[in-house]
Amino acid sequence: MPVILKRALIVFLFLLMLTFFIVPERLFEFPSSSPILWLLVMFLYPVLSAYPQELLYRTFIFERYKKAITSPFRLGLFSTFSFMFLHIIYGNFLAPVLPLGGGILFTNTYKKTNSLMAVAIELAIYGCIVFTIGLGRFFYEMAHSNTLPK
Amino acid sequence: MKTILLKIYLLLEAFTVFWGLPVYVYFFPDNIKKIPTLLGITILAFLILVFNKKYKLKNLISFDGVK
Repeated sequence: MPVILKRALIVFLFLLMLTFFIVPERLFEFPSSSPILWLLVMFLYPVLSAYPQELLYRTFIFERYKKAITSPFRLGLFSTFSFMFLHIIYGNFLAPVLPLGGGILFTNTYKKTNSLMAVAIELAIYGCIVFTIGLGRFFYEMAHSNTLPK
Repeated sequence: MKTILLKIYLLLEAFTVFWGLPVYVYFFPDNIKKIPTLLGITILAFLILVFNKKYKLKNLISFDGVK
């Protein structure tokens, strides 16, 4: 667990810099503009989104497709890239790129621990950081455009 | 033969669900109800795990292996 927390600190600093450089006007915009909604998201995102996502993209993929993709490395790649690919639905460049990095970390954690809860907590932490820090709009606005969401 | 067919089926299923569906949602976002679809897929995946005798259900909530 301390490894996950240390990694979360590094991810937080990275995302903080990223937000500062690409959308500085949105830095901590969500908690400051809608604190109640933000609190609700912080409680509901881990349960309603992070856990089901990891159930599908880690546990389910690793359990069900190990017969079809026998190499653990390839299975990990499939899990990581599928997780990244899901995020194309948001129609902006950042939405698939960040989950690629996250997917590598989650797959790595899952391979080492075989614990769904560990990866769900890790995704929940990163997700909450993303929404808090100001990058949340990249992950909930469905769009076809390849530009930054307004 | 049976094993090869099973592998082909599983690969088709995997790529349809995890790659085909996002492409469909991307191009036809209004043709699909996203939350019920995601909920349905998650419940189905959960049930498949529950009925998989080899999968230990305690792994859904356990921290075994976490240092």
